[in-house]
Amino acid sequence: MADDQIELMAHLMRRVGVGARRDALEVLAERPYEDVVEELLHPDELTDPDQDVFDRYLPVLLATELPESPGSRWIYNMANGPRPLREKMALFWHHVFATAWFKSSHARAITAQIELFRENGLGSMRQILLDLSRDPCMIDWLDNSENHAHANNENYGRELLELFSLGIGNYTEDDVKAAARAFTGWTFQQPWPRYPYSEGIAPIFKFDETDHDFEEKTFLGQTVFDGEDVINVIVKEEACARFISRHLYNFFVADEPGVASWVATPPRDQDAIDILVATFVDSDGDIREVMRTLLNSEFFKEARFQRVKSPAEFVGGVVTLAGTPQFPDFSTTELWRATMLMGQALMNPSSVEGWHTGQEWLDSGTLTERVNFAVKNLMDTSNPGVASIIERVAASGDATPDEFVERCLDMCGPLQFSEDSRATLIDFAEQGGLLSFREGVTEEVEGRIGRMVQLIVSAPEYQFA
Amino acid sequence: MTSSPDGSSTNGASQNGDFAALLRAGFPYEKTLGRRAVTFSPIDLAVTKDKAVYFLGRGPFIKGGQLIAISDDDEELGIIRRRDLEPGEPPMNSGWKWPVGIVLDAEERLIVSDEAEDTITIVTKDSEIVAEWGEHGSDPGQLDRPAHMVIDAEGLLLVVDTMNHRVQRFTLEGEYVDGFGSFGDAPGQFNMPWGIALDSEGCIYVGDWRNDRVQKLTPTGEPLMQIGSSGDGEGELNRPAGVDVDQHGDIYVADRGNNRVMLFNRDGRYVERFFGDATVSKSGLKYLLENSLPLRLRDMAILEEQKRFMAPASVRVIDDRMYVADYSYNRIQIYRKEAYPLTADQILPHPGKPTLATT
Repeated sequence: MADDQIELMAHLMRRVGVGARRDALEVLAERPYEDVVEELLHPDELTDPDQDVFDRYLPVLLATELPESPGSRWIYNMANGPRPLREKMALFWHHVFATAWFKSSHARAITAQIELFRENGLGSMRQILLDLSRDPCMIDWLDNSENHAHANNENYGRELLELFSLGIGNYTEDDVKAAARAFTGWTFQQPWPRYPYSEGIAPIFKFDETDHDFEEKTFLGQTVFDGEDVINVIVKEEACARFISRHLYNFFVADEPGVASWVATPPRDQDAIDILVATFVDSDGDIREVMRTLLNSEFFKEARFQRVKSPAEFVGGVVTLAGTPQFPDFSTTELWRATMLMGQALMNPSSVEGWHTGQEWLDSGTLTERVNFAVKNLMDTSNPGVASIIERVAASGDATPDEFVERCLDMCGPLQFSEDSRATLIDFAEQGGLLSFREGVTEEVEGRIGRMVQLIVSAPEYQFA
Repeated sequence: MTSSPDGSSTNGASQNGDFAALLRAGFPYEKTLGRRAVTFSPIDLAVTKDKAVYFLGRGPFIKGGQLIAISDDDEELGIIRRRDLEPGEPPMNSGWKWPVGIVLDAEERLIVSDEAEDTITIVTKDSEIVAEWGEHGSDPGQLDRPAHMVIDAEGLLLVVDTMNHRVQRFTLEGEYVDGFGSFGDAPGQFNMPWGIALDSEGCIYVGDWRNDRVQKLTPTGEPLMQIGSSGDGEGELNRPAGVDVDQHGDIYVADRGNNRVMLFNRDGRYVERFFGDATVSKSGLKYLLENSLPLRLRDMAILEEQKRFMAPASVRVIDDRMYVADYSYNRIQIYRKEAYPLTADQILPHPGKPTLATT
């Protein structure tokens, strides 16, 4: 049986990343939990390996004209990089500030937006909203380039309040109009066209003072002039602290209902939200501080398998378990396509509302895609991750069917399975009788362990993080 | 072609060592070939005697490789081979997955390396596959991500065997001859090498990619000189890709990570760098004049950066012309060297020190 510290580390790594293999968990479990959390909270002290290898072997990633390439690289880094929380925070903000490639088809622009989240996802809420408001991809996505001093477009101003910071019920229509006026003139320098060469470099923010409304406005009862003032007011609102805290809870702790119902549905754990809100307010919206509170809290540590994995988490988790790919190869760009088939086209959500999470990730079609992807990656027993599982199961010697199941669940997680699912695994194990290593790790033994791993990742319980 | 100041031709006559110095008159940009959707993502190129350019590309829309020929006048001459796995399009699985290097043999057949399949393919200009060989592995004669290639004076093919950190020599039929190199950063060792070239004396130049240097070696692989070090300053390199050597022994390096091409002289001394000066190619101009939207967008945009190289993967020097595979901009930029070999009678001996007395 796995010890408590291993199980806790496995839980932590599923949430701050996409999971970790057993050997990595054992190394982490030797350290105090709080120290591991602290290291995760400071990703800037580490670097991602093999980015030059990516640029060489997948040079399509340099010619980013589709989200497929940077999206695959993102998933690869989630699975293989040493900075899982950096990638996961970028994914979190991408969920909250959902922006899609399809409107502009400018992949460098959406890639640059994700890079903003990656760089400053653990920074201050004020800076995050400021970066977002100056991001050309967002400006184009929500039409702020059409928000003129004498002809307002309220799209960005409205979504900034409704979907990005405060939530419905915490502002008025007049506040929307004031916010829109404050962001007039926040546009971007026209990039050159994709033809005849390529879209080239990422577009650049531009403040067009000739198109900005410099008049005084009243926003949430305070006098403001421009977008920066609006953001300063927003981040001081308790509603902002509550809105972002509930998002963080939903993404890192346990599934909440859809955002649209938050105005009428109380949080699943009000006490937990209150703790996060207090940290947010006390730290002046420092997301790193809020995440430190969250990850060290008892409500987080106890919330095992309370979230349905997003497709990105699922795909990243499977390739981590399988050990594929550990070095960028021809199949790496299939990672993005895999998540897309499961309902999450990274960098290309269907609307500004983003993805519906929790149980809504799963239907018969997406579940089939998940199972197929997992089995495909784990069926080859020579894959490093599978080979490691076989070696470790063998290291403990002969196993009864019960022991065979326990060892594999331990190596794949450790995972918690229902009695019904466990019974299915034991049925399979009993078909082969005692798992014997008297003749070494034979092809038959490899096959039995490999098939057991495939059954585990095909089970409903494996869909949860 | 290189001309003497008096106008006499020196094409091919001036070899590495038979001149005292070069009068470098200039190296101006000449023109751009290709455009997006035609010459996707050139990762290497070859130029035939009639100046047709064979673009070897792999890029975002062709999930694999494409080899397409363009005339020196930027007219399409045809696709030699292409792999396409986009949904809804007919699969052409016989094409290359990750083509990376191309070289011409004496008959101007096209030899292409595929670093995903670990193969070398010989194909004619008429798309006929003459030979395809290569086997994955690390034993002598096996390959693990073959990259650039060059043919020596004996007609043998030198292949950079990237993940085995070595160079191997084969006959064109794929018979293993010999090889040299191992993993490391000592002279004669490599870390994921990429480019390769020969000078007129048969010395070998290897783009030692992850060591951020170019190594000059004897024809049998003994180290002679290390060129460059990590960085983005003068003479420094950041993940160099293709290399080439011209008739004067000048060494060209596609300094891919720094988005530039570096030029060193035959002694390995840094001379100058090229950042890109692209103008609109003939095919690009035709496209623009037929499409009003990109015309308007170009009119609104700041274009300065568009002339620069973006991740140049290969540099090839044919006579006095330098061709740069401008990977991310789907084009090739051509420069023309103007240099005059000098005899020892024309130039003072090297003083051995710098001087401020410059008159």
